[in-house]
Amino acid sequence: MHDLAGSAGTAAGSDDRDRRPGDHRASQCADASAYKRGSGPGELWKVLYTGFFNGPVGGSQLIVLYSIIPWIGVMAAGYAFGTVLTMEPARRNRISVRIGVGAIALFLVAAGTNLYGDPRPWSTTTPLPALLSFLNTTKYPASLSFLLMTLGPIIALIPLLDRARGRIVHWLQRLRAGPVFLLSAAHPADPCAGPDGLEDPAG
Amino acid sequence: MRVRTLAGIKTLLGLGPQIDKAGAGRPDGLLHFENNIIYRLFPLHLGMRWYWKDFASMEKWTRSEPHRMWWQNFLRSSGGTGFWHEVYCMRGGMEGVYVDVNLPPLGFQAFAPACPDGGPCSRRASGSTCPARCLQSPLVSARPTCTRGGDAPSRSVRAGHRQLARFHACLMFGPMSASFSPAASAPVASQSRLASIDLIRGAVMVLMAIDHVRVYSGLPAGGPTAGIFFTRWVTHFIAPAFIFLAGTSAFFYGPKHSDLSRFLFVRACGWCCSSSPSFGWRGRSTSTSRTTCSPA
Repeated sequence: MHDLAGSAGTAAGSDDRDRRPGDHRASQCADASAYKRGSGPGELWKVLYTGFFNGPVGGSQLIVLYSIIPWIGVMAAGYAFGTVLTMEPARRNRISVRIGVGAIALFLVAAGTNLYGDPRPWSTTTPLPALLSFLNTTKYPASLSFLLMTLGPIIALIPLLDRARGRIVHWLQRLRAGPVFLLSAAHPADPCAGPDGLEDPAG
Repeated sequence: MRVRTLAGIKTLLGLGPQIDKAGAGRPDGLLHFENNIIYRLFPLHLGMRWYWKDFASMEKWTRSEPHRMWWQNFLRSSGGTGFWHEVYCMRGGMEGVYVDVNLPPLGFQAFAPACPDGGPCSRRASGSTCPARCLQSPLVSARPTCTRGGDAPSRSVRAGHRQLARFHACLMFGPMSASFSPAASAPVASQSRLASIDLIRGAVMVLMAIDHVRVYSGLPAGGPTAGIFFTRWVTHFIAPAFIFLAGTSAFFYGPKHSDLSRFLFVRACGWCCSSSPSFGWRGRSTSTSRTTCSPA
């Protein structure tokens, strides 16, 4: 997947993880003008997978941060996970922990060895401390490491969250309504406004 | 099982002994079973009563052989019969009154301890609702059975009938309404399932607020110091949690509504039109953004 992204001339270059996040994000933004050139399958690939700020469609007016190919998979996984949630609690918890811990383990192994999962390998020679460099997975477009790192703990914690009680828990549960609207409405529309460019938008 | 056609009699005669055999095999959690209860002769309508320790053991058995295979075959073709299941879950206790039906033991008598005529159960039963004490006993095995002796006078028999009627009322309106789940095929403690998912959603909301505060206060998205880095890092959980749970919601929405595709399509359109930064039209021109994007 990442090789394909690279060959399509992705903004998320494969070797810029060593720079400061600001630097490589800035280079992504500067690359934006490149999207206006070219056409055909490459452009389609950018829409479907790599994402961009200044889109090839309609000149510079389109943003795609959450490109469809990785995220539709996440949504499909969530759909499939519904089956697990309908199981009786003991079985549901067992499977949740297995999936979650398995994902975390896969993340630690695959990302830890820089074998696969992120186009930007982590290293100990960045301005970032090594641990932070390791955790600084590629989000746009969502890399395998990024998804394992985030969804793994969420799924693994489901049995614990099921048992959580208390005032704060109750308050959070009532907050659940409509994250969509906060995500879409209240956020600054220009992801490049912040110095960090592509990493800026909510979520 | 209700016989609908002549072929149905053959189906019933074929399946009956197998069911007897399955019950006699005493699967785990089966307390007692009674087969060949006749509901009606014309059309022939037979039934059975099986008492299980808990729902889980019953479900385990129904998903094991031979029941799983019976059910699969049955869904393919009912062979001229009609088949129905009803499951009554009881968290509280139950009371049964047996008048002149003590031998061989029937129903609760086969596995629950007996309490004497006029004992605590029947005294409580004189109220308008189910006997409170019986309802509170937590386990099936602890449920008292009120058994009346065979020498009960006619007055007691009448009382027994009254209590029998009340007994049925318990089944219908008492503990059942508290524990009966309409989705019997998915015996989920829906309360607890929603608890974890709602909690995740709520936490996502808080993380999103954190991210917005960070953006508007001009802090960079990540950086070499741990504080800045993790302020951004925790918000990485938002999008995966949100999208993942959107898929889960679709799963739960689907079976309840026939218009899942339409629902999702309308949602998606609304999502795209809401000028979301994830996929939307942006207001600024390229040159402006490139200027603001100069290295930090």
